[in-house]
Amino acid sequence: MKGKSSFQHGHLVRDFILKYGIYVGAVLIFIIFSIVCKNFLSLQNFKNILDQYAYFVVCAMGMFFVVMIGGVDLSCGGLIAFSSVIGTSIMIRTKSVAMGCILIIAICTIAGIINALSVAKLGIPAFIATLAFDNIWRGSAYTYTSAQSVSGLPAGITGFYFTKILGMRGPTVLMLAVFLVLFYLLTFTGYSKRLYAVGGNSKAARVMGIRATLMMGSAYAICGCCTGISSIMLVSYMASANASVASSLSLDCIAAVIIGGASANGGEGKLIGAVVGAFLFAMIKNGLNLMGLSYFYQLVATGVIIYIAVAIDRQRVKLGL
Amino acid sequence: MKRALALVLICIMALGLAACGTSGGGDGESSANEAFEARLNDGVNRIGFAMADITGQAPQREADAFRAKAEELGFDDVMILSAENSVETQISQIRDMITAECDVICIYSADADGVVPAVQSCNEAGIPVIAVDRGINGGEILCSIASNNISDGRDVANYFGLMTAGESEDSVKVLHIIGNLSSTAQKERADGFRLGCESWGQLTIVDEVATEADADRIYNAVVDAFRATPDIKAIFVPYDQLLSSVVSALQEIGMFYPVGDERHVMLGAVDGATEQLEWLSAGTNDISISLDFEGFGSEAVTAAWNYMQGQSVAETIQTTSIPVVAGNVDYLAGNGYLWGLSK
Repeated sequence: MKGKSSFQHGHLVRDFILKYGIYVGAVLIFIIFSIVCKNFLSLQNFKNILDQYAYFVVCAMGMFFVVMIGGVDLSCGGLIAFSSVIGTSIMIRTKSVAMGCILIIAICTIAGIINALSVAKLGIPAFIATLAFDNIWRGSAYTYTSAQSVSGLPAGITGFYFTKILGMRGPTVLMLAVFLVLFYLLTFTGYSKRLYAVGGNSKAARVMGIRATLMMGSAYAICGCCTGISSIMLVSYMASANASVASSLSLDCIAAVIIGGASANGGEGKLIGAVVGAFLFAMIKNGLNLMGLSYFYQLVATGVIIYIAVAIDRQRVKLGL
Repeated sequence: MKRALALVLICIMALGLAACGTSGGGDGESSANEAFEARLNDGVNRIGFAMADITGQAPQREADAFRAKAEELGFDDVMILSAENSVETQISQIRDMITAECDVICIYSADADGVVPAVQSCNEAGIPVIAVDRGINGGEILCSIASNNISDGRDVANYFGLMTAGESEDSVKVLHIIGNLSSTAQKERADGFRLGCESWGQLTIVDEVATEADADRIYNAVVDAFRATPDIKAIFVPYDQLLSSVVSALQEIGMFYPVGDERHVMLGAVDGATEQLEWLSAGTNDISISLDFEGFGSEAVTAAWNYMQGQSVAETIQTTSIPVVAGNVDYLAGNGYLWGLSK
C-alpha cells in the first residue's frame, strides 16, 4: 500500500514537472538571479527588461500563431532587416514617420501571406520556404543599403523609445497593446478553436468545415504583422536601421514559444506561455549580463533551456498530458 | 495552474513597472552630474567595457589589457561584455551596465550609428562614455581612443607605391576589400588607402568590395575579382583576420606566389596579428600595420580612472601604429614592439 502511494506520488511529481516545469523554472531562475546579481531585483532592471525585449516578445507572440498551426517562420529576422531599411528610408525621404511605419507593417504582413501561400499552395515545407525568404529579405536589405546603416531618422520614431505613457516607455506600451489584442482574439472569438483544430489535425479540421488554408494564411499574416511591429520597435530602439540586425531572432522566438509550453507539432499552447518564454529568455540574458558573464555563457544557457523545454514537450506528448 | 503561475510572473514585472513609473529622478545635466557623483561615492569603483566582439586575437588582447589595467588601478569590479557584432545586443548590454551602476562605460562599438541611443542613455544616467578603437556617431563622448586609421590605410598604399615605383601610369591594379561598412575605423582605413593610392600614379583600384567579416564573401570577392581582372597586383584588407580567406582564394585560383616571385600578388593589412606577422617572415604577405590593442584597453581604463579622480581627460587619444614588413619584423619583435609576437 505504501509502495503504491509513493509510486503515485512519484507520478504526480513527474506530471507536475512536465506540465508546469517551465513556469517553476522561470520562478527559480528569477529567484536565483535576485540572490546572485545585486542589481537584478531592482525597479530599474525590470524597466530595462521590458523596454529592451519588448520587440522580441511581440515577435514571439506572432510566432506563437505559426507554431500553433504546426508551422515555423524563419524569415522574421531577415524581414525585420528588409522592412526596417525600406521603412526608415521612406521616413527620411518623406519626413513621415506614419508612412514609414505603415509601409513596414504592410511589407511584413504581405511577406507573411507569401509564406503561407508557399507552404499551403506550393507545398514547400515551412522550414525551407521561410529560410529561403529569410535569405531573400536579408540579402535585399544588404543590397539596398550596401551594408551601411540607415541613420538620421526623424525625431518621431527615435523619440518613441523614450516616450512615456503611464510611466511606461513606448515599446512596452505597444507590447501590452499587442498582447491585449491577440489575447482578445484568442479568448473571446472562435479563432483559437479553429487555429488549434488546424494545428492539431488539419485534415480533421477540413472535414469539420474549417478552411485550413485560410487559417494558415491568417496565422502567417499575424506573425508578419507582429514582425512589422517588432521591426518598428527595433528601429526606435536603435535609432537606425541595419541589414545585419535580428540575425538569430526567428530561432529565439521559436524557442521562446516552445519553452512557453507550446507543442512543436502545433495545436497546443497558450499565448501567455509564449510571453513567459520570451521573458525567461530576456531574464537569462539580462541576469548573465549583470553578472558580467560573456555572451558565450548566454549561448550555453539558452541552448540548455531549449533542450530541456523540447525534451519536456516530447515527454508530455508521449504521456498524453 | 499554468495561467496562475504565468500571471504571478507578469504581476511581478508589472509591479516593478508601476513602481518605475512613479519613481522620481529628474532630467537634465544637473541630475546626470548628481547621479555620477552618487555612484562615485557608493564605495564601489565599477567600469564596463562593451565590446563589439571578443572572438579574435586582437580584441582578446584588448580585453585582457583592459582588465589588467583596471585591476592595477584599483577598480573593484570590471564588466566586459561582447555583443558578437550584434548592435541590438550591444545596446541592451550597455543598458544593463547602466543598471549595474558602472561609473564609466567604454564602448568598442558594433555600429557607429546603432549604439548612439545607448550612449544617450548613458548620458542621461550621468555615466561618462569612452569610445575605444572605433568611433561613435552621436551622443556625448568623454574621450575617443583609436589609432590614426587614415594614416594606417595610407601607409599600406604607400608601401605598395614604393614597391612598384617606376611602373607606368595605372599599371598596378589593386583590389580593395573594405570589410565592415558600419565600422568607422574600417571606413577611415579605406579612405586612407584610397588617398595613398591617389598619390602614386601607377596604383589604380580596380574593384572595391564590402564583405563584412564573412570569410566566404571575402573568398568569393577575390575569386570574382581575378576572373574580371586577372592581372591584379595588390590586395588591401582592413584587418588581418580577413587575410586568411584572401590567401585561400589566391591558392585556389593558382595566383598565390611568395614574396620575391615576379608573379607575387602584394598583400597588405592592418592589425599585426600573430599569424600575419609570422607570414611576413615566411614571404606570404608584404605589410601589416601593427596597432596597439593593449594600448586601447589600458588607455581607456586610465582615462576613466583619471576622470573619476577629477582630472581632465583629452578628447582624443591616439595610439601608435607600426608598419611591419619582412625587413623589420624580427627587430621589432625582438624589442617587444609587436603585440602579435610578444609573449
